[in-house]
Amino acid sequence: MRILVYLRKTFVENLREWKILIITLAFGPFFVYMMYAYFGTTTPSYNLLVLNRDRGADLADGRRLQAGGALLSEWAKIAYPDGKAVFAIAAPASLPAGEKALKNRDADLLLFIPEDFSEVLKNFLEKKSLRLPRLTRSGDHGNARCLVAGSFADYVAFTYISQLTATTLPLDIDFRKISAARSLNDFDLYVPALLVLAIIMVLFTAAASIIKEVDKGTISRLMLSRLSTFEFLSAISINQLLIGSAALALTFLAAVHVGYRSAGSLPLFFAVGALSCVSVIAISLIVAALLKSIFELLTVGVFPFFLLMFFSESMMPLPRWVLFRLSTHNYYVNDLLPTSLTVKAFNKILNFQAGPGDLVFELGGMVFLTLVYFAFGVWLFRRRHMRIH
Amino acid sequence: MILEVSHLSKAYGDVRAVDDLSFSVRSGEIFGFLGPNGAGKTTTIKMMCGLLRSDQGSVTIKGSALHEGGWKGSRRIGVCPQHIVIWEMMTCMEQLEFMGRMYDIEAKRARRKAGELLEVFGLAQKKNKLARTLSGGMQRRLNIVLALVHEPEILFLDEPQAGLDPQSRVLVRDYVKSLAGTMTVILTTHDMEEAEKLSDRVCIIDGGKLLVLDTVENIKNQLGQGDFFEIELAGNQGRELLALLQGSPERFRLQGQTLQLVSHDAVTILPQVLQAIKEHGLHLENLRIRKKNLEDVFISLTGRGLRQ
Repeated sequence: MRILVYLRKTFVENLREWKILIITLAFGPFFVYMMYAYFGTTTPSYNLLVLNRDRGADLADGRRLQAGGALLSEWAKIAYPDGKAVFAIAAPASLPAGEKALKNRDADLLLFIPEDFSEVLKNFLEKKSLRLPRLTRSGDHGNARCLVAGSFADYVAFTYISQLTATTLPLDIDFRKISAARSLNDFDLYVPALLVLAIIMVLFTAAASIIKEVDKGTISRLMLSRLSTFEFLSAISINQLLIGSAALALTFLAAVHVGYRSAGSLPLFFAVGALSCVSVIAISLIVAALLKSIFELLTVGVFPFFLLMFFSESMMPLPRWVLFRLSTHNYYVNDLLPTSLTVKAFNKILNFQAGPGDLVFELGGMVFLTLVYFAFGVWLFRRRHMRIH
Repeated sequence: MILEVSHLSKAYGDVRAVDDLSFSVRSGEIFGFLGPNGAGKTTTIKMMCGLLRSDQGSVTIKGSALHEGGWKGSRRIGVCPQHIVIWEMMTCMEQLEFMGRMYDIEAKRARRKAGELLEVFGLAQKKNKLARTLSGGMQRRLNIVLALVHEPEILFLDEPQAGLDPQSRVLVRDYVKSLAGTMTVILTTHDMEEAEKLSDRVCIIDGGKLLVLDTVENIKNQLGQGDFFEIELAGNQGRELLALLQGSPERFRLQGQTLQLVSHDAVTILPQVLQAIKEHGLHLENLRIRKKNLEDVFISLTGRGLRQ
């Protein structure tokens, strides 16, 4: 069977081009270890700058009120269940110095406690004034960490003041986790995207395997032997599916190695991974059809690679523009890339214990897109490279 | 006839690469397909083996017509392209076996045939080496072997000797000669000497049009019987001598600065020419008598050399 003969040949070639193979296989694990080094050790810690200028105040009963210092202690005390402090607190030399640190992203949030903080609070406590003490918060709202740190800091401040003034907050918020049994840290949330990165790398190896035959002219020998487009692309797809699955497995093992644990079904995860791999191969067919040489792949081909990487939310979260709604499910513009749906499916399986029934929309979308891209890729490739001109 | 080309035409924009070309190739013959660069040889070869669609005309192999997407007999042909087309990351043996199997030859037979060919082409020692590690000459030989491993009935060799060292040229020439009668070989080249030595018949094309098609001897005899007699004089004296010899019954002609004559009787004519040179004080720089070749035929047909 000629598919098998060609599959064997292209597999051997891939093994011999070991540098490309190693980069493909190591790309995902490398990023897993990198992200683990940054985010994976425990829960995240937010860098808080507090400029405490509070002079304190003497209460009527003779006690000294140092509300600024006390609030600072409350922020320092707040900790995760593992005991690690939520905030790493430092004091800037001045407000401009603090703002500079925010701009450099050396800090996530700057809090300014004014000189009359305790004085105003004292007057409120002694019912001399209804004015409340002012706390100034500075931060970059483009920095998600600022928003999270602000939320924590506000919560602590409200709690402290309500206890001090014996006032009850007019709202009781009960927060419930949607994750399975365990609590998720930043790293856990990155893992699905990192796993997809391993699959995206197949774009290069698959396109390279195809374009190489065009670039070197060997495709004419294959055409003369009457190897069909279907046989040719099927053999390459099977080979790349093996490579992509291996890369996915290695990336997952790397995540497990640094302590990541899947909440869901591994067979389902690998099945979705294999489908995603095929979808990336389908995109690589289109890329290969449009290019003529390995040089073009390494220059022009970088564009679709980054498209997949960024718009699949593998690197960062993006605004979501709804493309259309199907039943209860929104499909976003990003979901035109099958890897975007893969990230969502992986997240649901690995972090939220989703089963096949919970993935109907993601899997449906992936299958549809894979079929469309594959059909278009085969048609375009045949038209441009495997047709009698 | 194993292959028939009928009114074949191909244009690239305004340029007619092949223009109403018709000829036939006999089974088992070595068919020289000659022409200068840009004559349309490679374009014609591509159309003959089904890699390029013609604008007009047809190609039939053993009576089967070429059709879109391939040709029924395409698996009976072998093509050695002008440029090296090999799989660099496969060993010589692997790629030959692979190519054989792509033509549905069983692995054992493909390996045996590959081994034989590697031996003939002096690559047996390199059979397990990656193709990219071979020298340029060896890669060229492998390029030829790849066209042969599936034992085709028709072999297209497009400039097979380009880039080969003298030793390899002899090796390839001997092999092609040995194929005569067992395989139809269509050989494109602009090496006239090789074409003369190898070809049973020669087809010369220029500007995509057929100039002449016949056996080498018949084509050469179009220039007249006898040998080629060439006289080179200093400066523009060739023109002067031609004028002096106008009364001679022999037909002289000026090619560049060289005065040429084809004659059976050069020995008789030579003293007359030398006498004329001496009497008019002309300066003889070179004088030679040689056999006619296909280059001379091409020059006589087009007024320019094959390499121009």
